Amino acid sequence: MEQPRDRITPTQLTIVLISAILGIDGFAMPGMVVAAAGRDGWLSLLLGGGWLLVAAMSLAFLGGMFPRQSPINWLPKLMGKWPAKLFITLHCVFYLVMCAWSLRIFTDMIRIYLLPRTPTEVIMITFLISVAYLIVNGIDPLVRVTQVFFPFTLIPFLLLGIVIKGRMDFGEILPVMANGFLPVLKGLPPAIAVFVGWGIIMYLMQFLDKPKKGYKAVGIGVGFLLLFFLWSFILTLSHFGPVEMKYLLFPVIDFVREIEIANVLLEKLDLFLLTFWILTVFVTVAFTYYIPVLIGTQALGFRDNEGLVFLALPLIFLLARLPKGFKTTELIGVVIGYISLFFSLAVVLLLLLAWRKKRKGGIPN
Amino acid sequence: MCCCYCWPGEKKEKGVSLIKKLAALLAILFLALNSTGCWDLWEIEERGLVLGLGIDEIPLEEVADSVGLEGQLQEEHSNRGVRITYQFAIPAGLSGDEKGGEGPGFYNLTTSAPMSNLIFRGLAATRASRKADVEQLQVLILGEKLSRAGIFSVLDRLVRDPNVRKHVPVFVTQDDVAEVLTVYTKQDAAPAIYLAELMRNNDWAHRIAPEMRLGQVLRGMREKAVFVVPRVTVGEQDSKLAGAGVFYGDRLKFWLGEEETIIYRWVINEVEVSPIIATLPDSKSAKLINGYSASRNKTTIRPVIEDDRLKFEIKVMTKGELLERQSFESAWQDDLLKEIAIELAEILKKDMEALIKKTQQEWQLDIFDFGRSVERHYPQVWKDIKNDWHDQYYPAAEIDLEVNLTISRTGVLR
Amino acid sequence: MKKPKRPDKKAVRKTREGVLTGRQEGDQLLRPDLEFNITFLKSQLGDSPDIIFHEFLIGLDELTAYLVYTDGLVDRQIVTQDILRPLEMDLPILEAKTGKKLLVDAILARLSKRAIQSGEIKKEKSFDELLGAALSGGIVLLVEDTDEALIISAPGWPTRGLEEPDTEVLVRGPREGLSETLRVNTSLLRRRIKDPGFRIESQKIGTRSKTAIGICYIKDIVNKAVLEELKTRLDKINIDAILESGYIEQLIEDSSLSPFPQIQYTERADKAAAAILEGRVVILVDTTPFALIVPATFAQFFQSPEDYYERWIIGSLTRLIRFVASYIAVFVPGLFVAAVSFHPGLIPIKLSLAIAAAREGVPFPVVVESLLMEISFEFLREAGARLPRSIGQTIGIVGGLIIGDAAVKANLASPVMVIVVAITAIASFAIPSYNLGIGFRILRFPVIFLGATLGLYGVVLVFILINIHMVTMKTFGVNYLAPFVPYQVRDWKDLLIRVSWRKMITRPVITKPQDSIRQGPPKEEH
Repeated sequence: MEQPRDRITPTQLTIVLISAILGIDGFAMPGMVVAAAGRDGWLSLLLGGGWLLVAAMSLAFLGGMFPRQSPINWLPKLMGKWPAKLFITLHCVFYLVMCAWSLRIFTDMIRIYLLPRTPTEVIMITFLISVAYLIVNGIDPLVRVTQVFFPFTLIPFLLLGIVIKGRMDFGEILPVMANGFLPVLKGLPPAIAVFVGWGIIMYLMQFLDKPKKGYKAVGIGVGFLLLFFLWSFILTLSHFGPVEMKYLLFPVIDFVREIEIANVLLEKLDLFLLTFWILTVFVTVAFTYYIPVLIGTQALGFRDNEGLVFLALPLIFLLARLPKGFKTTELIGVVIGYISLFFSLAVVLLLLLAWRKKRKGGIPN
Repeated sequence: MCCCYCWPGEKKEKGVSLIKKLAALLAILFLALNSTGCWDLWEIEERGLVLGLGIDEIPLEEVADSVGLEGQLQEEHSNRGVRITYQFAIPAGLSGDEKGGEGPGFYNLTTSAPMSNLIFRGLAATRASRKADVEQLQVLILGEKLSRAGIFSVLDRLVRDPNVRKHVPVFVTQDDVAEVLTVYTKQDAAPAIYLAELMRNNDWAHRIAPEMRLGQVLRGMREKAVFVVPRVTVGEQDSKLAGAGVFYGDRLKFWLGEEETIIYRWVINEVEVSPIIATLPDSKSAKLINGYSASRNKTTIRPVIEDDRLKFEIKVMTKGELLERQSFESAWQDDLLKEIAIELAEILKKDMEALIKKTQQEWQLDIFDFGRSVERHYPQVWKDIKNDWHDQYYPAAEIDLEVNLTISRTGVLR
Repeated sequence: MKKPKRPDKKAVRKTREGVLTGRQEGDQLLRPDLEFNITFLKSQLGDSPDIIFHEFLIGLDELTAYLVYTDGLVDRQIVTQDILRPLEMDLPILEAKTGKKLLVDAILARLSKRAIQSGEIKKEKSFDELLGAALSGGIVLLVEDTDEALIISAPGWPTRGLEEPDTEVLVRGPREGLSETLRVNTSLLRRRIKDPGFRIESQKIGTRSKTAIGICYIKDIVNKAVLEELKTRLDKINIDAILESGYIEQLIEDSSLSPFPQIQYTERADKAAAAILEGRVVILVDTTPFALIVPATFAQFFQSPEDYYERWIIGSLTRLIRFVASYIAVFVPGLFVAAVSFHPGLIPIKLSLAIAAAREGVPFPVVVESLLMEISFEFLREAGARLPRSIGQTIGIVGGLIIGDAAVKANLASPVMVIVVAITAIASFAIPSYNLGIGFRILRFPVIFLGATLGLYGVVLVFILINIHMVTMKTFGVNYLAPFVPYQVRDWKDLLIRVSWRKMITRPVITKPQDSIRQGPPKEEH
C-alpha cells in the first residue's frame, strides 16, 4: 500500500512516541527518583506520569484543532506573532540541545559498557551521519524505521519481565508514604523528566492522517511508557533496595546484569539490552534532530531539509562535546527535565486558551 | 553549504547525489576507522581471564618483604596491606582438546600491595604476561583478617569497574585464601569453577548459607545491615562449603556453624529440602532415629506491638516425607506418623528458638532482618527505634514460635 | 576533481537513432515490383545459407512467388502442407473449377482467409516488418505485381522439453517449468488461469534482438498504477539486445545500487500464475525460461510456492526458519567477531574458555581468520557452481571437509570459526530466492568489518543502516518493506506465518489490487 508522503497513522504516532522517549533517561531514572523520593518513588512516577498524560493529550488536542497545519501556522493565532516566534525558536534550540545531550549520554554509555577506548568522536560521528542519512528523506522513512525497530525495543520490556530468582523482595515498596507526601512531591521532577521528548507530538500532529484520533494514540503511548517505567522502577527497587539504588548510576543495567537463567545461558544479558537500546536511542536522536530541521525548513521556506541537516550536524556534534564531565551532563539533564516540566504547564494553558477562543467565536484556520 | 536548498525541478537528482555523498562519506569513514585502529579490540586469547580472586589482609611490613618494593611505601596513605591471589585460566588446559594438553587449566598468581595502591588489573600486570580481564570472574574469596577489619574499600574499588559482574558469588574463609584457590576435584577444571559450582548446591544442601553475590554484599554494606556470607574451608583434596560468616556493615563479626546455618535458613524461609533428625523412643524403648525431609515450607514473621512490648509471631509450616527410620516397625499408621511429626516439630522449634536467642543475647545482632518487618508494619515506630535496634530493642523482643509439621509421604517403603 | 566529459548531445542522439534503426533512416515500403522487393530483401539479409528464398509458381497464370524464411526457425510442415500445397496444387484446381483466373489480390485474400490453416497471417507493406518476421520464425510470401506481402507465423525451432526447474525444486508441486519459447510459456500460464480477464500484451524489446516479451496480468485485479509505470519503463529501454530477462530487470528496477533485488524472477509456471492472481504483473521473455514478477517486496523473496501447497503449520514454520536464517546469514559472523574480540563477556564462561583454547595456536586475529574462511568459502562455492554437476558436488564436500579440517590442523583457523562459517553458509542457502541470498552474502562483509572495528556497536550500526536503506527503497511505487512497515496487519497473515487457506480471504493489500476478495464463504450444498 502506498502511503501518501508525509502522513502518519495514529498507530505510528504511538510507536514513535514510545520509541523516542524510551531511550535516554529510562536507565538512570530509578536511581534519580529514589534519590529524591525514596521508596515512594513509584507514586511520584504515577503522579508525574499522569500529569504528563494530561499534557501530552493537550498537545494532541491542540494539534487536532488545526489539522495538517504546522505549529508555525497555528501558534501565532493563539499567542500572537512574536511570542509564538520566540516560543518556537526556543523550542527549536531546546531540541537541538536535547539531541546533543542524548547523543552525549549515549556515547558515554557506549564507552562505559562496550567500547572503553574508542574515541568519542568516532562514536558520535558515525551515529550522527547514520541519523542524517535517514533524516534527509523526510518524515516518512523516519517513522517507518521506527516501526521496524519497535519490536526490538520491546525486548527490554520483556527482559525486565524476567524476575531474578531469589532476593527479590517486592515488599520493598512498603511502607507506603511513611514520611508523608513530601517525598512524593520531591520525586516529581525526576519522574517527569524521564518522559522528556514528549514535546515532539506538537510537530508530529501535522502529519497525522486522522487528526482527531491523535489523542488516543498519545494516550496509549504515554500509558505504555508509564507502565514500563513503573515496572522497571519496582523491579529495581525490589532488588536493590532504596539505599543502594542511590549509588547506582544505571540501576536498570545493573539489574539486567544480574539475571541468570539456567546458570548457563544468558549471563550477560545487559549487553543484549544495550544492543536493543541502541536502536531506541537512534530513534530518539533521529527525532530530536529532525524536529529542529523541520522547524527551520518550514520557517525559512526551504523545499528540502538537506541543507539544514548538513548544517545542524556539526552543530549538534559540537554541542555534544561541550560538557566536560558526567556531572555536567547530568546537570543538563536536570535542566532539560525542568524545562520539560514548564513546557507541560505551558501546553495545558495553551489548550485552555484555545478552547476558550474557540468557544468565543472560532479561530481562523 | 548553506546554498544547498533545491529548486523544485531538480529535486530528485540533487537528493540522490547528496545521499550518495553521505553514503560515500560513511563508507570512507568506516574503512579509515578499520585501518587506524580498532581501539577496543582485545582478542579473547590475549586476555588473562581471571576466574577467581582471593583477597586477604596482611600487615604492611609483610607487603614490603614479599614484593620487594624499593623506595617509599606510601605509608602515610594507608596502614593496611592486602594480599591478592588471582586465578588465571589456561584455556588450553581447560578445554580438554587434543591440542590442549594435560596441563592444569589455571595458575595462581599471588601479589601484595598497600591498600591505597589497589588497582586490581594493574597489580597483576607486573607479573602476568596477559592483561587481566575480570569479566569472567567466577568467585570472590575474602579472608578472615580482611573481613574483620573491614572490606568496604577493597570491594568499592572492585565494583566501580563496569566489567566486574556483580553477580559473582562471595565466600569468606578462615583459612589461607591462596590455599583455597588451589584445591579442586577432578570433576572441575579449576578451583574457581569448582567453588562456583559447589555454590549451586546450596538450594539442596542447607549447611551452605544462601548464596551471597557481590551486589548483595555491597548492598548490605551500604545499608549497614547484617548479612551472611557462606564460608569455605579447605581440606586435603577438596574444599568444604558449610557454615557462614556474619557481617555487620563491612566487618565480619561472628561465625555461624554448619547446623546453625540450617536453622538460620529455616528462620529466613530459605529452606527447600532439609533434613530434621529426631530420635523417638520406640516400643522397645530404644532411641531411634527418624529422618525427615521437608519439601514444602513457609516461614512467616509478623511483628506485633502490644502495650509497648514488641513480639514476633513466627509461624513455620512444613510438609515433607519421612526418609529414614531405624525401626522395623512400619510407620504407616496415622497416629504413629502424627507422633513422629510432633516430635520433629518440637526439635525444630527448640533449635530455632535457641539460635534466635543466641543472636539476641550473645551477639546482639538481628541476622534474620526482623527489623525489616517492623519497618514495614510499624514504620513510625521503626523510625524511632532503628538506630538502637540491634543492641537494645532486638534483644528485648519476645519470640512466639509455632511449628506445624506434616508428614505426607514415607518414601517408597511403608 | 574534474568531472568526466559529457558526451556531445547531438552525437548521442545520432547514435541512438543509429541503434534504433540499424541502418539508414526512412522506412521502406514494398513496391509492386517483385524483382525489386526480392533484391532489396536479399541485400538486407545477406547471403546466409540458412535464409531461404524459395521461388515457386502460383496458379494457372504461373505467377512468380517467393517464400522467404529462416530455415531452423520455421516449422517445415507448415511450409509444405499449409502453404506450398494449397498454392501449387489446390489453387489451380480451384481455378480450373471456376474457370477464372484469379488476380493476385484475390489470391492473397483467399489464401489469408481460407486456404492456409496456420496461425497468424498478416498483410504487410513495410520492409522492416518483413525482415523482422523472416528472422523470427515467420514465412514471408511475396507475389509479383503486388505491393502487399503476407507474413505467416510458423515457429518451429528446437526446444527443450518441459522440465522441473532445478533452481526452484519443490517437494510438492507441479514439475513444469517455463521454457525458452514465449508461446509455450503463455500456454502454461493460460492453462492455469482460464479467466477471460487474463491479458497478455506483447512487445518487442531490443533493436537487434527484437526479443518478444509478454506482459501478463489480469485486467480486473491488477494494480493499474504499477502496470502503467512498468510499461513506461519498458518503453524507455533503448538497448540493442535483450538476451535474458535479467537485462530487462536491471534496466527497469528502481535502485541499481542496492544489494537487494526489487524484481523477482521465477522459472516456475505456478509461481508466475500465483503472482498474477495476486494482482502483480508477470513479464515473460522469449529465449529465457525466467519470468519477471513485478512489483516484488522484500517479504516475497522469502516465500516459496511450497508454503501454500503444504498445510499452514508447515508453511509457517518453514517461513520462520527462513527469516531466522536470513538474520543468521548476515549477522552471525560479525557478531562472532565482535563477541570474541570485544566482549567475551557475552559468551558463557565455558564456551569462551573453549574458544580461547581453540584460538591459542592461530596466528591471526579473529577478523582476519573469519575473513579468510569466508572468502575461501566463497571461492569454493563459486568453483563448485561452474563445474559440471558431478564434480561440483564432490568439490563442495571435499572442500568443506578436508580443507576445513586441514585448516584447523594447520592452525590457520579454529574449529569454532569453521562451524560459524558453515552455519552462515547453510543459513544463506535456506533463503528460497537466490538473488536475495546473494544480497545477504554481500552484506555479511560490512558487518564483519564493523564488528571488528566497533564491536557490538558496529554490528548494530550496520543493522540500522541496512534498515534505513530498505525503508527508503520503493519498487514500482510500493514500499519495499511492506507489509512489515508500515504495519499492515491484514497482510501479516501471509508474512511470517501463513494462516490456513480458509482464512486467506483477501489478496495482499500492498499490491492494491482492484478486486481484493479472492475467496468467499464456502458454497452452500445443494
